[in-house]
Amino acid sequence: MNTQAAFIIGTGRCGSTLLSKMINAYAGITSVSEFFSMITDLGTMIPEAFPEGPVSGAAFWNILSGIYPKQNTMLRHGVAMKEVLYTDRPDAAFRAATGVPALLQTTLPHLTEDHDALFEALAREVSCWPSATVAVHYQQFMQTLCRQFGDVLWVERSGGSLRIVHRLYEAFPRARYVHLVRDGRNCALSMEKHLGFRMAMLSFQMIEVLGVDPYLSDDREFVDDLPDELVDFLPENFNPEAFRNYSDTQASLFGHYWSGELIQGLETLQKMPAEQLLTVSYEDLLEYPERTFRTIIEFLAPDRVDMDQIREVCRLVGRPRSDWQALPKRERELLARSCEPGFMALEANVH
Amino acid sequence: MTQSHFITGATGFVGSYVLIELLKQTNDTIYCLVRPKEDQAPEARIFGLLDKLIPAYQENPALLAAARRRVRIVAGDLSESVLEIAPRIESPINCFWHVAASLNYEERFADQIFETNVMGTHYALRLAKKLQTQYFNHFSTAYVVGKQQGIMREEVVRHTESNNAYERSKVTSELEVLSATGMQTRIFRPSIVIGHSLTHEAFNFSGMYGFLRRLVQFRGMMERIQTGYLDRNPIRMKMDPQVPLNLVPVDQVAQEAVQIGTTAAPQRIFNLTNKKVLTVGETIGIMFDIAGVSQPEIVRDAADFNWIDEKFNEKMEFYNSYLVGRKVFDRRNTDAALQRASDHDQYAITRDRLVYKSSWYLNKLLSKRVRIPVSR
Ligand SMILES: NC(=O)c1ccc[n+]([C@@H]2O[C@H](COP(=O)([O-])OP(=O)(O)OC[C@H]3O[C@@H](n4cnc5c(N)ncnc54)[C@H](OP(=O)(O)O)[C@@H]3O)[C@@H](O)[C@H]2O)c1
Repeated sequence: MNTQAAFIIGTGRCGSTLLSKMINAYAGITSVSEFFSMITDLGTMIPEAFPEGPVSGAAFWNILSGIYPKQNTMLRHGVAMKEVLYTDRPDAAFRAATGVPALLQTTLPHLTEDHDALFEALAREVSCWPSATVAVHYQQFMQTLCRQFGDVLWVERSGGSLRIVHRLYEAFPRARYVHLVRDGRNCALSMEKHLGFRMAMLSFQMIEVLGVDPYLSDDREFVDDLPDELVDFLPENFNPEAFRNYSDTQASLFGHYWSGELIQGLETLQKMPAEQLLTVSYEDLLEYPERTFRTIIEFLAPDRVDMDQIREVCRLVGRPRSDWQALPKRERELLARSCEPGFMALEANVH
Repeated sequence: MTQSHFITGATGFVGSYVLIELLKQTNDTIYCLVRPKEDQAPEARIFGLLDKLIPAYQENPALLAAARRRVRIVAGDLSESVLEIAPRIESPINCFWHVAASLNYEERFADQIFETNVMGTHYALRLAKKLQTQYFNHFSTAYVVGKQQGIMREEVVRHTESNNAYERSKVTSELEVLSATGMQTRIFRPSIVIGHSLTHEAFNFSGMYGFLRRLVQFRGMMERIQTGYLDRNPIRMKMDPQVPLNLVPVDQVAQEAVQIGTTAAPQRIFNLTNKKVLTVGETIGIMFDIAGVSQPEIVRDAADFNWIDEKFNEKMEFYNSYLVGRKVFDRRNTDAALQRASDHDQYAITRDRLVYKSSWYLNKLLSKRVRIPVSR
């Protein structure tokens, strides 16, 4: 039996973690969380996760099981993002000190307590797969996971996945896509506080100054060009205290980022047939959880709508913490200006 | 009668050209203080560099043989231990050329900048005295004047508001040089040194090249944050577009310094600046064009900045001192001391020359950025 494929996509901090938790609690759906965030090392190794041409099963497994430097630097220094679920138990197969594979950071622990054993079983199976395009491998991998839990539908969700939606659509042209949209001003405020987006944004800056990714290369020819405030985030200097307190990433930067992600991501969404795309607002999910979640379930699995379950799952809905209106006037204005292009793109594209 | 010279910083951009000029303009013996590097002996550093530079600058190839005959390498750096090399050098030294310096400017390098530029000059002066030096020729910068505006005379700068740790270190080291006794001291103040007037070759990429590099870096960052942002939103910058921006080719600096420094010129401070330059607006326009960034919007007030403009201007802060405020460099001492007037047309900064120099550097830079990860 073929399983159904779906993605929750959105900008960073659009509320998709909540939706992912709700889906995880809903029977019959495998919730695949932060899969693409982790195998792209927080969005900084995207092309590496989508190699061109056929790849062997072993090479594909290497992508999934890679011990990637940024997420593991954060883990080792005690500043992992809160989505990371792998715990350093005495009987754990991996240690934060030596690195945890991408798949085990969030995705497998989100699905089962017995994630180390599942990881081992997957390693044995996936490594033997014959050569195929990475798209075929991803499809097969998701189906394998889904069947493992006896489900018929899998839903992948990675924070900020709008950035790779063009690649997802290419690999999964028949999947359904739930685009979760949230007020950019609050997304930006929330991204500013989020350690994963902080790392991604710091990496973008270091990469452009150094001309290489300092977490993947030890070329430091242009290290003197790094502004003082970035030096603490080179892997050789990584200072968790400075990382936790880093305040230069003001919300406006993420406001511009939010706008950019929408402008670019909507270009792909526009190409999707209407029956494959559902746009939902996070604000609606908070305000009218049952109605909104029901719409989502109807879209994803129309034959599995169960109002009792929907009501139960909607208890997970809480109150958001970010409120752009509480900002000082000047910051509020700058943030609003930075989000304007994103709002305009949404207005022009989402009906 | 042949005399002898001593150079610090001969492996650097300006110092290596001073060495070439000394080979051209004199028949003297030239001692070079060179830091050993892990992978290269001091001799190999200097002769390897000359082997590369003399053809690149289209200088007479015979200078290479002359260098091997007349250049003596002394290993060492500008710490107190440099005084121990004195017995290995035949004194008296006619001219001591103190060119070595740290060109960093960020606050995190403040101690190192002070150590190299202020303490380094202090040890250089003590060594020069031990070597019974007649003329101590010190390289400073035309930007010791800091935030001052107007006509920048070839005079001592005692009190000024500096823009950064580098400028501060240069003000302090000039004062130490000027108060030295027992030898004649001179200060050379180049403006922003750029590549060769004819071949465009350069190998220190601070100053104008640093600005262009940061622009390329910034464009890359913005592409990662919001593709096409800079096409839709020109960056706002605070600058005075009509004021001149003084760029000077490295060959002019070395040629004028050596001409003046080897004579008994009575003046003490020399602006080694260019007489024919473009304006700030023209220069910045070329840099933006070459970097593929839409022309900036010039504003008088930072209140007009959005967040990205603020960040951009912060990143470029080092360059602001060059872009805001009129500085016109008086060259009376320099012109009076030069026995042969310089060919100012050869050194003139024209649009075409600047475009060529910037593109030359951009290509070099891009070839080093081929491993930059794709963003999406
Ligand atoms: N470039 C410009 O735009 C510009 C403009 C105005 C004034 N200046 C002045 O011109 C002079 C030369 O600048 P540049 O452009 O030639 O700089 P550069 O290319 O960076 O060269 C600096 C030189 O100083 C040497 N050096 C640095 N620290 C040293 C130390 N502790 N001990 C011994 N040697 C040391 C370096 O030796 P290594 O090779 O061993 O590192 C190198 O030879 C400086 O005084 C600078 O302030 C330059």
